[in-house]
Amino acid sequence: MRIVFCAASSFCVESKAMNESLKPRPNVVLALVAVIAAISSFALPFATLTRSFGGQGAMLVHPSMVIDFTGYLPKALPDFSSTTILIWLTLLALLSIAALAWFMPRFLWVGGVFTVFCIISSFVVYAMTLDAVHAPLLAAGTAYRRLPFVNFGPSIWAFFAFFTGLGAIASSLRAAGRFPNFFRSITGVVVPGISILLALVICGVLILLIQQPPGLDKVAKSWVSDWFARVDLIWFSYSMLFGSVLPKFRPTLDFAPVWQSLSLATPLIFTGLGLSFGFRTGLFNIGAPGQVIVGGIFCAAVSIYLPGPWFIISPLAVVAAAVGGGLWGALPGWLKGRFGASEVINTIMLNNIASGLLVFLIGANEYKFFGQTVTLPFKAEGGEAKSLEFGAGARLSSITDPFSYTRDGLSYMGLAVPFLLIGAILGFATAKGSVRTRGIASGVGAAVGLGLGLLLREIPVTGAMQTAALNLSFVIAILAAGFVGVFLWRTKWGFELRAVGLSPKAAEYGGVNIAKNTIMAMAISGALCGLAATHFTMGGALSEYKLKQAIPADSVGFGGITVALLGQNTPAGVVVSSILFGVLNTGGLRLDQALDDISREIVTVLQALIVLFIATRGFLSGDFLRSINNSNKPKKEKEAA
Amino acid sequence: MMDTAVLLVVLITTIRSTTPLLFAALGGMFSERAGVVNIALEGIMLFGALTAAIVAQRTEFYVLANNPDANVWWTSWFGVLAAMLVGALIAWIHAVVSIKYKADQVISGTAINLLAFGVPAVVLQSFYKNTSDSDKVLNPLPLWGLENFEFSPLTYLSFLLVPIAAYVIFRTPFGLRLRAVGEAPQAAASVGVNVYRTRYAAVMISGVLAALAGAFLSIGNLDGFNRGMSAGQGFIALAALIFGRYQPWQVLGACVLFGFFRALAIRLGGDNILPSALVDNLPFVITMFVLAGFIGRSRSPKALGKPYP
Repeated sequence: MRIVFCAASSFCVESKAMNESLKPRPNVVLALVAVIAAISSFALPFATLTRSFGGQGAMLVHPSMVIDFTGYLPKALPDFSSTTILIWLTLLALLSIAALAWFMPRFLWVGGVFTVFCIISSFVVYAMTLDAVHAPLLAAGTAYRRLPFVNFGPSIWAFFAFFTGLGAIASSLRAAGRFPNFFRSITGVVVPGISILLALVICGVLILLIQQPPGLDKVAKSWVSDWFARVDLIWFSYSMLFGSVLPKFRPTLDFAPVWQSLSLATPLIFTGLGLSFGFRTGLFNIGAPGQVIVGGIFCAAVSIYLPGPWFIISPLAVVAAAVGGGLWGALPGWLKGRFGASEVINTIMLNNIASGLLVFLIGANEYKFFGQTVTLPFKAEGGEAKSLEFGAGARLSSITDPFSYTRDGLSYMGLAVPFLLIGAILGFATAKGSVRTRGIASGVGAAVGLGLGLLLREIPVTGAMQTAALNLSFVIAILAAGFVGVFLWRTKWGFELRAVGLSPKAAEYGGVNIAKNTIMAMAISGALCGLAATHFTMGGALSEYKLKQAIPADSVGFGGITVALLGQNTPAGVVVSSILFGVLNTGGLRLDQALDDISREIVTVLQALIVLFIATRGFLSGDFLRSINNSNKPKKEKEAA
Repeated sequence: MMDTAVLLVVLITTIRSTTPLLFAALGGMFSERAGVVNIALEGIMLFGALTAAIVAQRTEFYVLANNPDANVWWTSWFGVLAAMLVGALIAWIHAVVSIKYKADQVISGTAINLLAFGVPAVVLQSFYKNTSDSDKVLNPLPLWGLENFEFSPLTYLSFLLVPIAAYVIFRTPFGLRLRAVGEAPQAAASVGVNVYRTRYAAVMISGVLAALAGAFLSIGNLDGFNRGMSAGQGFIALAALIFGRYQPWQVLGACVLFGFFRALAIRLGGDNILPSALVDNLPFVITMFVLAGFIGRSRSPKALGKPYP
C-alpha cells in the first residue's frame, strides 16, 4: 500500500517539478516500471493458446515457450517465430521507454507509441498465425468448438506492456501540459481506483489460497510450471470476472452477456442513487433492503388488484413502488427530524420489519389471531412464498421487444430508433448552457444516433438475451439518475438538501428547515430504492411476474452502498459503478461454473473490500489528496463562473 | 391453556435465545461506551459462527481420521477459541479503519457486515463445495445442568459476563478510561489517557464477545454453520443495547425481554394467538419507540461515532 502511495505521489511531484524548471527530472517510476515490464516478459505469459472449460489453459511465454495445462494441444504447433520477433521488438520498445524516462522525459511519448504499436502488432500476428491453422479446418467442416485454439487471447504480459506504453504516452502529455481536460477532471476517481486495485490484490491472494491451480497434473511438476499455473489462475479468474461481459462473436453474434450485465446493474442503479441521495444530505440510509421490499409490496398491490389498460396500470404500479419505498424511508426521516432518533438504527430495524411483513403477507394464506382465523389473499398456491401473478397490464416490456422484428424465423432488434433516443438524451445531458443549446445538442445527438443506427442496422436477439430480463426498468433507472442530477444540482430544493449535507448548522442559520429537509431527503432516497422492486417484479427478473420472498433485497440494498461510495455520490458515477458490478456479477456466474473451489460470492467480498478501502480513502495521505484537489481547482472555478 | 411444561419450555427457549443477544450486546456496550459505533456486531457474529464450526469440524475430522477412538471433547472448545481470535481480528480491522484512518464508523461496520455476507460463501465453497452450510459438527459444545434443564457452557458464561462487565466498566481504572474516551476524549487525553489504545482495546473486546455469540449459534445451539444463522440478531443486540441504555443490568433485562419474544415467536409458531412473523418483529418496533423517546429516553455516549481527534 505504501508503494502505491509512493508511486502516485512521486508521479505528482514529478509533474509539478517539470512545469517549474526547464530541465525535466527523470521519471524514475516509469523507468522502473518499464524495466520490470521488459524483464517480466520471461516470467509472465504473453498469450493464451486455448482454454478448457475448467480453466486449464495453454499459454505462450516469451521466448517461444509453450506451457500446456489442458492436455489437448496438438503435437505440431504452428511457427511462432514472427510473433517472437515482435515480442523482442516490444522488449526493445519498453527499454526505450526506460531510457527516455531517465534521460529525455520530454520524448517519452515516442517510446510509448512504439511500445503500443509493437504489442498490438505482435498480437495481431499471433492471431493470424492461429487463424491460418484454423482456416483449412473450418473449410473442412470442423465444428467451431472443436478447433485446436478455440479460446485464444492475449494474456497478462501483453496487457502489462500495453498499459506501460499508454502510461508513457499519458505521462508525456501531462508533462507537456496537453493532458486532455477531461482526464484532469476525473482525478476524483483516484480513491475509488486505488480502492478497486487494492481489493483486487487481496481477492487475488484469496483466490490463490483457496483454489488449487487446475491442470497441474498435465505437466511435469516443477516450480516453473507451478508459477505459471498460479499466474494463469489469477489471470483467468479476473479475465472471467471482467471479460465475461464481452459479446460472443462466434458461432453467432450474441449480446446476451451485455444484456445480463445491464440487467444485474439495474437494481443497483436504483439503490445506489437512493443511497447517494442520502449521503449528499448527510444521511446514511441503510434501509434500502426494507424500502425495496415495501416498494415491491405496494407495486404488487396495484399490479394484482387494479384492472385497466397497460398504459395506465404500469405507470401507476411504478409510482406505487416509489411511494412504498418513499413512505418506508420517510418514517425514519420523520423520526430523525422530529425526535432526533438515529436514522442508521431505525432503518436497520425497518429492514427487519419489512422482511417480516413480506413473510407475513406472502408466506401463508391463513393466520390465527387469538383463535380467530384470518385469511389473506396475497399468497399464490404452492410451497414457495410468492404473491399472485401480476395483471397483464402491469408488466414492463423487455428492452428488445419494442424494437424487434422477425425475419426468416430469426428475431432481430433494429438499432435506428434506440440509437436515436440514446443520442438525443446524451446530447441533452452532456451539453452545457441554456435549454436552447441543449435542445440543439439533443437534435445533433439524435441525428448522429440515427445515422449510426442505420449503419449498424440490427443485432440478432437470441434466447439468452430474452432470459437475461433486461427490461424497461433499466430505462427508468437511467431516467432516475437524470432526475437526481437535475434535482440536486439544478433546483432550489436540491441546493438546500446539499447545504444540509455539507453543514447542517450553517444551513439552519441560512434559514433552511432541517427537519423538513431530512424527511424529504429520506422519502426521495427511499422512493429511489423502492423503484428497484419494479425490476424484480414487473420486469420479471425473477423469472415470474410475481413478488417473491426470493427478491434479493439485502444484496441489492447493501450493494447500493458500495455503488454510491464508488460513484462518489454522483448520478453518473453511480450508473458507471453499477454497470461495473453488473459486469462483475455476470463474470461471477461464469467463474462459478468454471472453478470448483471459487464461489461467485467473491464479487461480494470484492464489494466489501472496496467499501472498506474507500472508507480509509485508499490509505492515501491527506496531503496527497489535497494536492490532487488543488490541481483540480482552476477548472472548478471556471465551471462556477 | 399453558401448563407448567409449556412454561418450562418457554423459559428454556428464552434463556437460549437470550445468550447470543447478551454476548453481542455486552460486546457492543464496550465498543460504544468507548465511542466507537459497532454496527459490525452482526458480521463479527457470523465470522465467529463460521470459524467455530469449521475449526471444530476440521480438527475433529483429522483427529478421528488418525485415531477413530480418540476422545475429542476438546475440539469444540478449540473452535470457540479460534472464533474468539477471529472475532478480535475482524474487530481490529474495524478499529484500524475507524480509529486510525478516522473513517465513518457506520460505513466501516457496514463494510464488515458486507464481508460477512460474502466470505462465508467463499470459504464454505472451498471447504464443503456448497455455499450455504458447513458439514455437521459431530461433537458440538456439551450441555451442562439438570435433566431437561441443561444449557451450553456459553450460556452460563454470557449471564456471568453481566456482573463482570458491570464491575469492569464501573469499578476498574480501565472502565473509567473507557467511559471517559466515549464521553470526552479530549478531556481524557489531557489527563494522560491514551484514547487510541483504549478504543482499540474496547473494539477488540467487543469483537471477541460478538464472536462468542456466533460460536454459541453454530456449535452451542446447533451443530453446524449455515449462512442465514445470525438472522439479524446482531442488530437486535444493538437494539437491546440502546433499549438497555448502555447499562449492563438494564441490557440484561432488554436481552431477556427480546429473547422472550423470540421464544414466544417459536412457541406461537404452532399456536393460534399471534402469527410468529409478527411477534418476531416486536424487538425492532420497541427499539424504534425507544429511540424516538416514546418509551423512556436512551442517551448515547457523547463522543459516539466521532473519530478522535
